[in-house]
Amino acid sequence: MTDTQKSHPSGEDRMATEHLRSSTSNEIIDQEFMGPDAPQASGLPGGTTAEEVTAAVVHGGGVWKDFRRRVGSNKAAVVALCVIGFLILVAIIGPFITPDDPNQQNLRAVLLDPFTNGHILGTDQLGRDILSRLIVGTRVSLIAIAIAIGVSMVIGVPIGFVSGFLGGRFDAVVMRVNDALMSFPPLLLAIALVAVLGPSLVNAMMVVGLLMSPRFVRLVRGVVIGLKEETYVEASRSIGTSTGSIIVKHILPNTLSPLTVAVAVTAGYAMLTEAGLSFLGLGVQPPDASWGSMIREGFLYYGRSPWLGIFPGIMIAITVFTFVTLGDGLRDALGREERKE
Amino acid sequence: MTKAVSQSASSGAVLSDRPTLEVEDLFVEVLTEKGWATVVDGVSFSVARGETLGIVGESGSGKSVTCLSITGLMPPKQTRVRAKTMRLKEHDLLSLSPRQMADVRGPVISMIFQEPMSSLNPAFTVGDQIAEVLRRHEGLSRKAAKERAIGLLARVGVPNPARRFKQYPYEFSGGMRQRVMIAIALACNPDIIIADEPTTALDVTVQAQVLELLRDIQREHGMSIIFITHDLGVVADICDRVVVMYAGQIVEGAQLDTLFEQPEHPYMEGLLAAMPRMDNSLAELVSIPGNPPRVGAFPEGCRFNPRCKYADDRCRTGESPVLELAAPNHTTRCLRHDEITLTGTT
Amino acid sequence: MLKFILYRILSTIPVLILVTFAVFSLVLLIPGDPAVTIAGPDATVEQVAQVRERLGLNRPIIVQYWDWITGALQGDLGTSLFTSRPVSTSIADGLPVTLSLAVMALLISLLIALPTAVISAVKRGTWIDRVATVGSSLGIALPSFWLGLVFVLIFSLGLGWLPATGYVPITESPGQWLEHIILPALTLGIAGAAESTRQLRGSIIGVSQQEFIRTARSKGLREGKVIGKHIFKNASVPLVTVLGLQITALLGGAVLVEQIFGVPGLGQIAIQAVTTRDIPVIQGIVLISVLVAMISNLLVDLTYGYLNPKVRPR
Repeated sequence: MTDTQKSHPSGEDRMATEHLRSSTSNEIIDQEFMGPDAPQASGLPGGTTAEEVTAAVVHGGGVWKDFRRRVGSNKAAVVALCVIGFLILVAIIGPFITPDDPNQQNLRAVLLDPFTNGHILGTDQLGRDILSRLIVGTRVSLIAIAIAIGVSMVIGVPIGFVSGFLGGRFDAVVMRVNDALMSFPPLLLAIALVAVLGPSLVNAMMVVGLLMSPRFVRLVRGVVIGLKEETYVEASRSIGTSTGSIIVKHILPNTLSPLTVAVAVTAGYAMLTEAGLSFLGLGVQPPDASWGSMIREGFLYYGRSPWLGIFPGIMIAITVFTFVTLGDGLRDALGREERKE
Repeated sequence: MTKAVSQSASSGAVLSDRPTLEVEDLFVEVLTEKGWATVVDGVSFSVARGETLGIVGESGSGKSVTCLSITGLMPPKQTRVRAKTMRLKEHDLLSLSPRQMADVRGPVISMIFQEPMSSLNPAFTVGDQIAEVLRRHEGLSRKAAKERAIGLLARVGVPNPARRFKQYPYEFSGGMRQRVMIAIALACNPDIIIADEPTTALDVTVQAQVLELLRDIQREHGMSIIFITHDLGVVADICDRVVVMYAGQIVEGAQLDTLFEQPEHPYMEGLLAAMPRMDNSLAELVSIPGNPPRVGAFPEGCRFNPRCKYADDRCRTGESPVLELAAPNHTTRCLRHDEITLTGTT
Repeated sequence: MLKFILYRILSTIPVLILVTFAVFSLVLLIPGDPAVTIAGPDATVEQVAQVRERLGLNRPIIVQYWDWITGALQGDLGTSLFTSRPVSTSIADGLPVTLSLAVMALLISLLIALPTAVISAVKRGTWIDRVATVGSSLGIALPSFWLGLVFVLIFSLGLGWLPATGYVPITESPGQWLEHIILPALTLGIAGAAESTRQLRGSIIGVSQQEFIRTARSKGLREGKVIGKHIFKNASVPLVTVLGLQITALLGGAVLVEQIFGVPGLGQIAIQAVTTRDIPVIQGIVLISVLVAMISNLLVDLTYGYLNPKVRPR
């Protein structure tokens, strides 16, 4: 079989689990169960197993160039990046290009169907233009994602680094806390925390970020532990390179690929969680609107004007779908070739 | 023993002196990232009843693909197989449907693979994996299959077979797992066993024991064996006749002794020279310079020419040479076999 | 096996303590004086003091935690600040509803995921596979509560096949229970189905490239047996992980779905408690769902013991 082409499963299965959690079961599933050179789809949950670590060894410079080349070669990833670029553009210039003032009420033109009175997507219960509100909501929704990812990386990446670097008891404690945090039902805990802290978009997304940070802890820790044992890192240390410089030169570049994938995946889930919290009224507060809170408003009138809730839902679905596709594409692009080398 | 094979395309009585397996002009193409590539190129050989044929070659020479294609185990969507003849006993393998092919695998032909660590399913007991072959092909009851399986375990030299029957592969050592693999291959008393580097992954002592076992079993059951390996020491130990493969082609074929004493292809000479020998420890270990060509990038002329110290201009141009007779029962794919004298071993 | 179970149970205890303490600490997160916040903006000084006394907020946190956790062990989770009902009674009302919803959703997600994943993996690279792959990405991307709305629009308001809202206990009328539970369960189950499909497809493909699968084929086993027996048992290890995770996710998702379909489960109680900042109720619900999640994780680990013999203690 040496000369037949082995097709590479894209490893999307890993995405399915990597954001979720790990437990002692991760350690339990011995590598041998799946064979020594199991492809990525070997089903080891947790996403920070040896394969992920060794799959990503990049040396020194040229990381960015290499990274761009690989991502550029994956069609799905490029298309997804374009869609996300477009959404970001809309988020930035959105308020200047809306056909109407998104908060302008017109009680004589409420709950209009699409394509009436110049409202392409109709109006809501207060006569506000839905298209305009969708455009403005883009910014709120993307900011929400950014907050969640920012928070979870700010918490997760350094802790993962330190935990992986120091190992020992510190690491053990961190992983215990990590496991504990991961055993919470995320949405429910987010609801509870937001309830206590008071409903607001920032609170909601900080909580979401906190709940998602364990996966960054695990991921970064895994990469660091894997690299610590690599010969070239040890060699570098033995000739007296400082720890800081080892981190910058060797470890940071190697976290790039797995982190990018994790960010894409996390973004999708952050978006869904934001939408859920806003739907429950625990996220963005009126008169601001995110797509989630627009569904909430639509919910109240769905009998009379179903469009109200359907359009923002489509926007959410498109965005999350794009992030999921981006995650898959990045994993293909960044993981597959590394195996070949 | 009833062979649960329903039908066969080739008709007529089975002649007892006909070879068990006959392969003529086998071509195998596999789908690579750059398109279809020929990895087995016009391979012909036959295996007589009770004979052990060695197929020797470096990894990537196409020897495993050859055997996997014969048994229909290549991934169908990524493989194209064609041949003039591919006959296993009374079965025309080219005309069998996948279902009929599955009926043949087990009672007529079976395989032993290289990696005893990964060739057994970790999730089922060893006994279950032996018994299921018997249940599949001979329709035995659970109980009867268990009895037979325990007998097989004992036959292949697994101590404590009744207890071992209930254990999982991880509880077995490499050598013991390979014995289990042999038991599986042996279960339905096949006419031919293909052993694909069965001892490569094992320690030298264990290797010797496994070879001994295979020889014993062959003597007992009179089955044919195709032994795939890159280890000439193992070849010398077990094979009657050998074909040498290089870059998808057979480059030489002869009886074991002839081949070792008077190789007719420079590649075989190189392999022999690279073989470590006890009696000749002072002689330098020579290895063949260069690497085998990659699939789809075979050189013009003789495929071995870039690595061959005898190659001249004729060897570097045109089609690859044809397989010709250098002596009775001795084929070679070397244009210059008459002009050069090659050294073998004694 | 017993030793293994015991070990797993014991090893969850530290996590359990950590988690329960975190749940209890929710009250500490209230900005400013929790008693003031809980008592409300119009409360008098006496009322605030009363709240503080009632909740024991003037005692050290460890003592408060101890009281709460020992109470919880005896089934006493405190009383609601607003309805004055015992928290455990409310939970006992809502938990079976949510659980039955979650179990149905899990069942539906498996019913969708198993065949889809197997077909998609076996027919890898064909259009069937592509449709399934895009479909499962979409299944993840669609917000469940939005999907619920669409289902109500189609099946209740549009076609009139199923009731839009409400709930009937299974003990009262199994038929009506099914009628009411099917849309919420479908809504909740689709995201899970998508997740499981992706996971299972990947692991089936991964396992089918293993050498022992070639061995199974070399024995002449029928393709159905190769897939159904040899591939499936190995491929289900990651599936079990995902199922465990899904139980956790379902509990969260149930909050949203119950809201849409007016199902009186834990989610509704939680939302009510959240809008009134009824801290004991929130704590109780979070505690219970964390416990359910941990139990399901435990079951997952025990299932590994069955699927992967190596895990089992000798």
